[in-house]
Amino acid sequence: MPPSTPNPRKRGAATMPISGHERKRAKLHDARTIAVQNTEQALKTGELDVPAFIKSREFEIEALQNAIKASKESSNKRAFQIVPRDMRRRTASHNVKRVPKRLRPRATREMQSDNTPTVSARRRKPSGSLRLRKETARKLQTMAKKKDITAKILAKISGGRRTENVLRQPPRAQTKFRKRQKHKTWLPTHVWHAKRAKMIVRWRFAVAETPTEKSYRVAHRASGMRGCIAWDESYYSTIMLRGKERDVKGVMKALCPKDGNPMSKKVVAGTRASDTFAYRAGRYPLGLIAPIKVIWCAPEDSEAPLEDRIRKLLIRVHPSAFLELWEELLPTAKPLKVTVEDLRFEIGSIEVTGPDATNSLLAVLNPTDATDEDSPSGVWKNLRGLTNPSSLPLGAYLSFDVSDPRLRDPPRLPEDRRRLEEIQETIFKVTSTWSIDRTQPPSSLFSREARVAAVKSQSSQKKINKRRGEAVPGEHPPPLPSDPRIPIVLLATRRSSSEKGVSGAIGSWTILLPWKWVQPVWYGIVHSSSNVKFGGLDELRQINYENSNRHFPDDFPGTKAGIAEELRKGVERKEWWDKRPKGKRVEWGSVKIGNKRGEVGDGFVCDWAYLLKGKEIDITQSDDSMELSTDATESTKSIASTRTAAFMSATESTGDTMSIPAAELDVSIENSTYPESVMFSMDIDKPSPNIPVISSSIPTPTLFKDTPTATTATPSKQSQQPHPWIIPSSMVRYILAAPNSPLPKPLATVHPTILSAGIFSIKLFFPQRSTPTPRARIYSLPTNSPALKAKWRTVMSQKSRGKRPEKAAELLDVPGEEDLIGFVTTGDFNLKEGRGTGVGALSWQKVFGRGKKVGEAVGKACIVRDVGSGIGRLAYWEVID
Amino acid sequence: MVRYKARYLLITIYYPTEPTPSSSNPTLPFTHPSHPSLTKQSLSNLIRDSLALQFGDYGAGAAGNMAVKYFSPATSTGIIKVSRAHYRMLWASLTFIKEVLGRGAVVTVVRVSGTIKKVQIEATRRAKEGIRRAQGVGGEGVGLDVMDVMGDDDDDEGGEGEESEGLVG
Repeated sequence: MPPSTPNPRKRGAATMPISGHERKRAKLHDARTIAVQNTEQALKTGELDVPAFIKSREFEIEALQNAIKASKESSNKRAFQIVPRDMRRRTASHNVKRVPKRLRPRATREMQSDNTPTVSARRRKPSGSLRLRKETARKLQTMAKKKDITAKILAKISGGRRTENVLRQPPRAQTKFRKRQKHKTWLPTHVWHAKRAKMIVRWRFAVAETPTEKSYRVAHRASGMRGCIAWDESYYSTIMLRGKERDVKGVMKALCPKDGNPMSKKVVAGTRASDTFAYRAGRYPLGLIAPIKVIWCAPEDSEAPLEDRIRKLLIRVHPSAFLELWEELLPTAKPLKVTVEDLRFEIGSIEVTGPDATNSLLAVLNPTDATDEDSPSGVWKNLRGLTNPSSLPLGAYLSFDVSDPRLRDPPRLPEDRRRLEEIQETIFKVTSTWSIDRTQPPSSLFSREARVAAVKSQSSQKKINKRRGEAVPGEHPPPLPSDPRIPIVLLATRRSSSEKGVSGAIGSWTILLPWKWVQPVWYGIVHSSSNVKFGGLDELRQINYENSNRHFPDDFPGTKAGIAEELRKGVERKEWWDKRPKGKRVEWGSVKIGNKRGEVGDGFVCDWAYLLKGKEIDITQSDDSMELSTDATESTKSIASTRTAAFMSATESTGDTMSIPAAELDVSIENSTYPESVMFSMDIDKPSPNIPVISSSIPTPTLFKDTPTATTATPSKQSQQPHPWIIPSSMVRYILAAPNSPLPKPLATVHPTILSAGIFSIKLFFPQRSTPTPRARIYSLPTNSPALKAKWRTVMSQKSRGKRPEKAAELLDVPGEEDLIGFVTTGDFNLKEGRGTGVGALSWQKVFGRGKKVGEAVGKACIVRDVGSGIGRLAYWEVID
Repeated sequence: MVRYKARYLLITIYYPTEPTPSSSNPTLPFTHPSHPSLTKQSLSNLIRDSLALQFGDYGAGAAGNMAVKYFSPATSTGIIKVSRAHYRMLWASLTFIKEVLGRGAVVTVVRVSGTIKKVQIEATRRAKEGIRRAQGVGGEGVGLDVMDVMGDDDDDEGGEGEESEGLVG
């Protein structure tokens, strides 16, 4: 096409005389020319004298330095490009307001010189009839505003609305944003997150998936080494139970396992929170719903007889399992006259983890009344410098009221002048005495009135700004009696680290607070210091994975939510796969595995249905097969105590153990006490071994003493294929530790068909270099081919000698699909451990069933094959919580 | 993409045959300003001539991408850019230059660098050093040890110049 007359509205047209290219050249030329002094000034009669000499050098210095500077500045970077990565915003290239203030003049200049279109059609000043129409609309709006009756209407509704035993509706969104929230709800910090993260819709919420910035290593560092990382977890559901203590206990007894601690004395007293699991009422150990957090409110009236007091209790549960739990709670609670209240959209939460988490929160959360040292607010102030919330007593939680964080913006802690020893001493004193066990007041977060009052008295940002403007410069505005008191509950969550010897994982703080206050507190947290990062769902999963914790719902294939999640991911993977051209995608049918072709099961998901398919399960045998054979124990002659994690040390030891296949080392009769000790260490009422706890230790029922009430579940005959369900880790540990003893009670009463569908969660680690991917297939050592098995055993022994096997020797055939025992649900390179690890689950039946030798089962050697590949890698598994 | 690699040469022109002015001091030998008519362009021509003389057509062509980036007659300092493959050739022909605009001259290469920035920094450093020395001598006799250093420098480079002259002669 011949060049027509230039369109004046297009870029580059404004500078007709010289083209953009020429202008750029000229600019660069200017920038790269070094000024030269006029020689006449430096010379007097062609002779040199000192002043002239100095003058000329000075001129030269300045010229050269200017040249360096100009050259640097003239590099082809525009204002919005030199903004630090984390301060970049979208559309900053044509909107000066998206760059920091100091760069705005430069950005304006650049846009003018470049003729950047800055006005979009949407923002162009309207003219003609459009202007008239808009003006009228605005006038009508202002007129409507003057008659402010909305408040009255709202007041009327909130008084009469029934909130108990009914599901809550999402809050009414701002008119401007209502259309965008038709099929989802925004979190309180949505706008903040939408600018900085990729948002996805999950569980009817718009949640951040991952920050736009690179964040994999960032999240790893922030969670464990430097700084902290925060999540807005307001999508988590909160349910409140209210009723007589006896009845509330009854509900919880029906839902929770006996061996956990939601019933322990300190939890019921409202001084500690409890991490436990919710099951279908009375169906324990079947029918796991989700891991939950249970927080009892400290009793309000201490006069009433113990069991008749009205008590309140919060259950915090993941939204994917909320409805299931809700539908289980209602019928359970109704006969006991316990009311169930849905507090979604009323209580939000923020989670912060990392070494700086405590200090960041301390800067933001200022108790309104700092009374004595022993009260929660006093203890909170003394926690300054705490780097790991895991070092607090198990289930510790603090409840107090805080002031508006916007009044102390930016949130900064005063300088800490104490020495490190002093800080540590204070923290140690606080955590060892933990006076909160005596002084925890009933939290006002449980009271609807307190929550509503805190929200109603929230002043506008305008008023806050005014107060800050009137305050003495450099000081925070003085508190007013009308200031809101925000009720919060601060939960310290422990992250268990399955690895023994590895320093404990850094725990996290979870703040529960009124929904409307989440945003101001969030702003405070992310501005409390420069190294506060934020995460999305991916980061949450990543941190759990790095600490070898199961992440709900991804790593819970035995729950409804977990199955739904796996299916959803499968659909997503399928869509991605469908888009790929044929040559660039895995053809499941032609994957070469051993001497067969074709992927095992559905390649897009962890195909549990395939694994648990009934054809190989021999029900008649399964009962006596539980008597695990003992030949493995005979071989453990030298290793005294080989617990699950001791495997690596055993393989590295040089001694007579070398001749023993490493897989068989892990069985020891002495370990029969192991599950109990595990339970004790997780028990709130027991003092943790190294911290002296003043309060009396209450004996708690040990693991399997309680008789199960309703575990004799009848297998439903019509469903041929029972759903997978998760066997509690403690039971699997018990069996591993004492292979000769009969099955623990709850399992023994389960029908064999159902038992055969049981799965248990494991963590995988690799003796050689390898990284599993999600959906990787886990095999046992080959059972049908002794030759291949012997080969795999040589691979195992190679490692125990500390020798790296040659690459060619590694590629052994993968066992056949009859040896498939499980799947990897999350697998990656674990930055924390510096090697590939995986979290997955194994089938109970395939590992312990059918009279398989314990030596293999308990030896925990397995072969892991990535989905779509034919290469198997040796791995070892261990049970995780 | 193959990157074009260049070398930047920081040069200084000395005029050893010029009479030292009476008002000057002995610590700053040979530092005469160049004639104002010695511009970047004329210096470039001078160097090209020398290249052609020393290395013939091959030299003139090979170092043809040579460019004088900066030359200040007041301080007789300049920066020359040349492709990396040919900078030694250019250096040699600089050394063989005997006179500049009719005055006996020695062109010395003070610094070779891959970036112009480092050359600029070096030039700045030397200019500062010069000022310090000039002021030190003008005020009090500070410049002795500096003199030594300076002398060493000059010996090296001067020696080179003399040697080359000898060869040519």
